[in-house]
Amino acid sequence: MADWQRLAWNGLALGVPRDWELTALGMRHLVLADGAGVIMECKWNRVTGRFDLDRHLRKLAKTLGALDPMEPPPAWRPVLESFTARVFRLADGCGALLFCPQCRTASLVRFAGAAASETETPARVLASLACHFADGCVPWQVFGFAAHTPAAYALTHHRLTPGRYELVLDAGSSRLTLASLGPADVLLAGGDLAAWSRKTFAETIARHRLLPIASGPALAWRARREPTFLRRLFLRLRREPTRGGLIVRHDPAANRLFCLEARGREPLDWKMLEATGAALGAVQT
Amino acid sequence: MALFRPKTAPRPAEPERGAALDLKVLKNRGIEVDVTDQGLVRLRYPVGITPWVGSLARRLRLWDGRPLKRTLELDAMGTTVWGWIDDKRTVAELCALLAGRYKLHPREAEVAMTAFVRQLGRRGIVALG
Repeated sequence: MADWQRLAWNGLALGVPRDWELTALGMRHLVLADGAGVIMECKWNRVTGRFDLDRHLRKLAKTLGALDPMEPPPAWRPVLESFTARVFRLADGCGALLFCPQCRTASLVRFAGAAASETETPARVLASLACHFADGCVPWQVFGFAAHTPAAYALTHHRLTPGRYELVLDAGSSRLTLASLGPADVLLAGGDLAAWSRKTFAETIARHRLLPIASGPALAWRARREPTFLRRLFLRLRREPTRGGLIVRHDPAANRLFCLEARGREPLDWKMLEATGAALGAVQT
Repeated sequence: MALFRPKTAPRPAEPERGAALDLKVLKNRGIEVDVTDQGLVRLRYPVGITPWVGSLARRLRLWDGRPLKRTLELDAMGTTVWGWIDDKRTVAELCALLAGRYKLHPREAEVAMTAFVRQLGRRGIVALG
């Protein structure tokens, strides 16, 4: 599998050939291309009510154009056993509409190329597709950035710009912001991790009166004590979160800084935050 | 019948991504380059003035007709990349150098480098050829 890479984004993980590049990324949408152009597209969503695959296929035909249902190619059959699936042929490729009864995720996977259904790669990609995970956490792995977040947190915003990858996840009254910043040697020039975080997260540190505590390779910024009732009331009136915490880590091997900022109205679960902060990292590409 | 011709000429087709990455980055010879005390590169480049603004500025004795120059100071990364531009390296080679030097993901390096080259290109400091 050395020539393959793993991608994981917002509840879906899959393996693809290393020369397939991620060219577009949405909340629940990804497009991959090779040197010749778009090679694969994937869209997915959680379904709450009844899901009728045939009805959905008819809807898709209106947007995708002529869509011929077909028998799954022999290589796809064992792969599709864990899903309720419909396979179809398009003018310029083929695809599958999958429904996972276990986690109720519906996924639409399209492969470009007239002979896509006859080649081995799409079958391997489909075999690697995962929409629920044993540990109950959601994996993230794109552009060399990796994370594991609790399933209760849902992605609300993301930014993947050079030098700053950022995911914002919400779970009711609390919010996690995961970030990977680089290059660390440029960001930390003339200072250390504590000084850099004091400057970068000045507002959070001041608002929640956080102090740096070194725990392992990470620097955790925690409040010395719970905010008083009056302090909490003051922050609530200003529509600001009453609790905050920060974990900052420098990975010299990857030359990146990893940050996890938590805020919320309830006391923070530091065990969960430390586990999430520890899972934040870089993957070799 | 159209009474007026469109004022802007149609933009030339942009090269494909692969072709654009294979182009060499060429420095403008008319750029003045200084190095600050912190070792950062400072570029002085000429600015074009529209004729009517130029003539107005001249009549008001605000401008003597000499070419105007603006200054652009590069940060540490920009200074490093500026040092790599030697009129021989292509955009792809510069991306690879950037990814290697700062341990960036290849795609991140490509986006950062193309944005940097585009910014310099807009100011006429570099060109692709």
